[in-house]
Amino acid sequence: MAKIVVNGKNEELEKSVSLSELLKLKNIRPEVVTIELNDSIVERKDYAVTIVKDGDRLELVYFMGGGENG
Amino acid sequence: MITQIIIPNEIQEKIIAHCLKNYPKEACGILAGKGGQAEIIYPLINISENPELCYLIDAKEQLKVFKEIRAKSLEITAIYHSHTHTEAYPSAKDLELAFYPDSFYVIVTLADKNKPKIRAFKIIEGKIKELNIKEKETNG
Repeated sequence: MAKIVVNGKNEELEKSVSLSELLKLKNIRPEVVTIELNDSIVERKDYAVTIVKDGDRLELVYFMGGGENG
Repeated sequence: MITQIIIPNEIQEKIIAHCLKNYPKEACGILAGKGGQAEIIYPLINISENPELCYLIDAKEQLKVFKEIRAKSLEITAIYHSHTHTEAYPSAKDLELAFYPDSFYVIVTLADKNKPKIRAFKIIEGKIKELNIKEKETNG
């Protein structure tokens, strides 16, 4: 069991997982989010090799963008 | 059901001033508040490589503002940006990147710089619903 905090809310994982696996569990596409793990932004290329462990604090934000002609 | 967003006149004026200041580039920012009522404006930097036609909020700045909003026990009431040449209505890109269905999307058009217009929308699963902007809470 891993107790983590995501966007300020407590969550529990059955086991430690990678960021890629966590996004899959949450049904979130990696290309549309930025993830901060314990106050450091994780590069997308490292999602698969970055393990979320007990006590970790995550901030997960979707891109905010758009505009009249994208 | 939410039928309106409340944006005090002072904040509406700040949004429009921010958009005009950035013209011809698009401006963007976040409104924080509670229960559909905006209380604080966070003008942010547009880091798009093509800022005259699009906007992109810097993730670091976004993270900082999100944490600040949470620390104040407020919510992300709205995400605002300007359209400098077209009407204040969500574009195809706005729909594609509308990842916050609980927030309002506020768009200012500066197609006529002398008469900026501000409109608010909910964008949920690609569907657009326009909502009234009120300056203060009313029963209507």
